[in-house]
Amino acid sequence: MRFDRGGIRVTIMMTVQSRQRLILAAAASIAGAVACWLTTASWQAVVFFAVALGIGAVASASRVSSPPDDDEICKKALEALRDRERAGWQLIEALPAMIDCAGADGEPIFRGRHLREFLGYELEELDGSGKTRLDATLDAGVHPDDVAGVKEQYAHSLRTGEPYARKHRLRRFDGDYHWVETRAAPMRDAAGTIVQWVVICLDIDGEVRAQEELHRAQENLARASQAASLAELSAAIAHEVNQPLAAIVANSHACHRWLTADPPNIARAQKTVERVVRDANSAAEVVSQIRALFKQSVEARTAVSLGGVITEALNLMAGEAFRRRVLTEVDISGDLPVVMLDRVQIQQVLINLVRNGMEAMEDVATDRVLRIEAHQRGGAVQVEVSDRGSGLEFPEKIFEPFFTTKQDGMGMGLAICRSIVESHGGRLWAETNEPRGTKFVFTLPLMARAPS
Amino acid sequence: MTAARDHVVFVVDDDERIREALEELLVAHGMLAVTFGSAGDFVRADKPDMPACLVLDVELPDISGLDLQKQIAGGDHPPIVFITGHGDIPSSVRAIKSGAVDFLTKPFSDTDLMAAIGAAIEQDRSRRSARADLDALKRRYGDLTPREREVLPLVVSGLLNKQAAVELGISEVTLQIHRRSVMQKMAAMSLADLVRMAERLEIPITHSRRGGETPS
Repeated sequence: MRFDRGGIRVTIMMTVQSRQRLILAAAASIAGAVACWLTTASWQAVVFFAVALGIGAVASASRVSSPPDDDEICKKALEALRDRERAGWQLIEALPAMIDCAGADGEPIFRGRHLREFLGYELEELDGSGKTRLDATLDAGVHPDDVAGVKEQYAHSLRTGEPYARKHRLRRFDGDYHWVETRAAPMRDAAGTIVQWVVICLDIDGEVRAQEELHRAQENLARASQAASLAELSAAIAHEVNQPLAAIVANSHACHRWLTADPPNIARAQKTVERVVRDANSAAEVVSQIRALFKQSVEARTAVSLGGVITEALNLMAGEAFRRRVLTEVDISGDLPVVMLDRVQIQQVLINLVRNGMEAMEDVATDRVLRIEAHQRGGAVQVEVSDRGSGLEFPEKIFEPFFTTKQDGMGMGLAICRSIVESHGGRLWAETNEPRGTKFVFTLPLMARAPS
Repeated sequence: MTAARDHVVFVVDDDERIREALEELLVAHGMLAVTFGSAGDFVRADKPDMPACLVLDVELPDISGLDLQKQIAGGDHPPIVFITGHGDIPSSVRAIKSGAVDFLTKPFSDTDLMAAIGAAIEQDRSRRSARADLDALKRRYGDLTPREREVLPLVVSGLLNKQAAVELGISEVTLQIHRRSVMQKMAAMSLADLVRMAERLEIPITHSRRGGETPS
């Protein structure tokens, strides 16, 4: 039995009245559901509202279809029914949402005007491809990256009868993919058997893009504040170390004067030397506190693919690379295993090494190439950052705190980098690069040491 | 080593290690040092009346050294040598512009510190001696009689005795007596000397000299 007007195929035997009642109920349910979704966006409320409206529609339809007394009354009743039916369809077609109805097996049997216009083709157009209509529709419309998840969830809902809800990208008639939110709920008969699925789909592209924008802005902010906190950290370290150093210098000079006085004042010289020792120890304490600081953050570690972290770090440094006219070469193994690491800390290590490498090539006129490689070596991932600068005079000394070859450097960068890498159970060292320059290498073990 | 106790160095730093070390260094250089842990302690303290210098840390717990500088600007305070653990350029520019003698970044060499302190104390010494001279002058001016204080501005304006006498409604002879007394009490060697004193005392010149005659 077919009901041509809307293309709904009614698969169970029913009277004209009951069919019409079903359609009205479906229309009312969908209308209620959409109206409710648009206002409250609460799925529970949608179901309640839909059920209430459906019952109302069925009840009113029942009243109209009470047994006719004579032909005239019957005719009038039928006309009234058709009017209601028409109003129902108009409602469905006018609703500002994309409507879809599917059979109990999930096969689409009706599509509202907005969905047809969005997709740009009619319901039957994809038939005959050998696939089911559902699969053909999903394959043609859903974004390739999303289609597997969508199919899986549809299959789950069809199998269990649970409502379906998912956000994914859907191809519009012009080839653009738009983010949509699709929700489907089953309609059941009196016995509880699913007879049909009603589906509504809203174009939420604007909202998703706005959210992505917001997310990106937040990420940028987080990165900027990371950079700021590193600068603040440096300033704090500088202050903490400079205080005892200033005291050491002043005490040393005082000591010198007491010793060179005539006669020498040994007692006071001794007192100042004791203070020098005390303050030097407190300066050393500051440095070990910094190390401890990096060891404490084991909880922040997550399983991360190093490739992504390297790419992020390089993106952050892209502007500086451009400014310094440095070419960046990247060679990251595709099958790099994930490593437990603190993303922010390892990013700081990478940024530090990349910046060092760029600065090392300051005085090189041409061939400014910074190369980054990441490969698995045994039980660890090994990352190499090599520059073509003038190389290192003191390959081991550079990791010592406060050792610097730069005019305005504090000499903390590489010491901090080494602390971070070692706290991850890895090693950081420098090698001579071929044909020239320096290669910084660090390793991160695949099985990270248990937090101590 | 005996300390030449004719000047004092105030040290304001919240870090006890710095206070100790600077005090030791200053004493080793034969100077008198008084240290304070905060700006408030320094402001509240009774300070000896002698040439001084203030060695001031920029980062202080109560108010910053720069704010203290602003607060005591205008008042009678020793020249300031700033010391800082950060040494940022904007702060140092601000400090120097507001009259600081120097701005030293920790750790500083004792040569730099002692040179800055020496310059600051010299600056204070000449400021104090200028102020002492002025105080003496004010005292002498205070000894003048009311009539003599009327005569002084007229004389330094360059009026003739005759003109000045007419101005005050007294005889020329009486005016000459007052004038001699003013010169004596003010210890002025010459009229030019008296004019300079009047300038320092900021005595307004009320009359300009009329006519071409030179004062007798």
